[in-house]
Amino acid sequence: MDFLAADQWAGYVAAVYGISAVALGAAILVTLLAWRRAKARLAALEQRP
Amino acid sequence: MQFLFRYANPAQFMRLSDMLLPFLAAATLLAFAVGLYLGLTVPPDYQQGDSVRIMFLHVPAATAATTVYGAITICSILSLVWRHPLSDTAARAAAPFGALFTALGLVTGAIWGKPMWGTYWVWDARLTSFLLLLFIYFGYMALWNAIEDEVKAARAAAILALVGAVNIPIIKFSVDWWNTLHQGESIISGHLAPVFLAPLLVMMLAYLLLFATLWTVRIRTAILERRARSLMQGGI
Repeated sequence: MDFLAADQWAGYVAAVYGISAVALGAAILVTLLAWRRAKARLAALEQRP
Repeated sequence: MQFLFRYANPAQFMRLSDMLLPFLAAATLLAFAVGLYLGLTVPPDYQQGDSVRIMFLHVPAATAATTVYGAITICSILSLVWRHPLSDTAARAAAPFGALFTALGLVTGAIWGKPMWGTYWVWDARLTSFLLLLFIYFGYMALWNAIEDEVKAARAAAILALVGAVNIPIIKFSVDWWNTLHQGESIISGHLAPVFLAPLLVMMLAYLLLFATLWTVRIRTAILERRARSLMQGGI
């Protein structure tokens, strides 16, 4: 794999990929957690007598 | 227009999005897998070396940032002119993703700028107008949260979104209108080498699919929260 033998800019490339992965991963996580929370809250309210 | 109203009321949206979400998520994963593979295995650029790989994340983030703002603008027009039932919810749900993509575009661009330009930041027209986009996103989200009455908040936010839309063509054409350090448009003009074009386009598609997937989930969340609120109010 060419990218494993990256040149003197490897640090910059790794930083960009790392920051992007963390940011997008966090966005996915936060969005899915909010969705699950909303579903659970609505389900609890609908089961209320 | 009737199509929009028929398929975008909350109940129809929940049914339609329930069917679409698995396909959107799968397409997003596939596009990211293919895009990342292509982007990390293309040969280094003869001038930029391996730092050219930053383009495959920087450009899609920047493109997504302006596309999300375009979506917010369309939703705002639908809200102000036609009182579309889902448009306010959709516009509000899109904003955090737009802010995230804008921040990513700025950060990845700054990191790319250091090895290529010798500096992380310059106050040129492209970078400054893009920073302004981030502030517009922050202002838009703050306005939604600042006004308690949802109808008034939606109206004010939609107007702000329309005013802020002026910045989008400024971002796009800033590199033509002013002398900037940021390079000019290179995809449509054909200046980008074909070997880099394929991974770039796939990654742009991946970012837009990711936005579409997360946006759909966030609109669904907002609809569920609204139902929960109305149940709470009904139960009091």
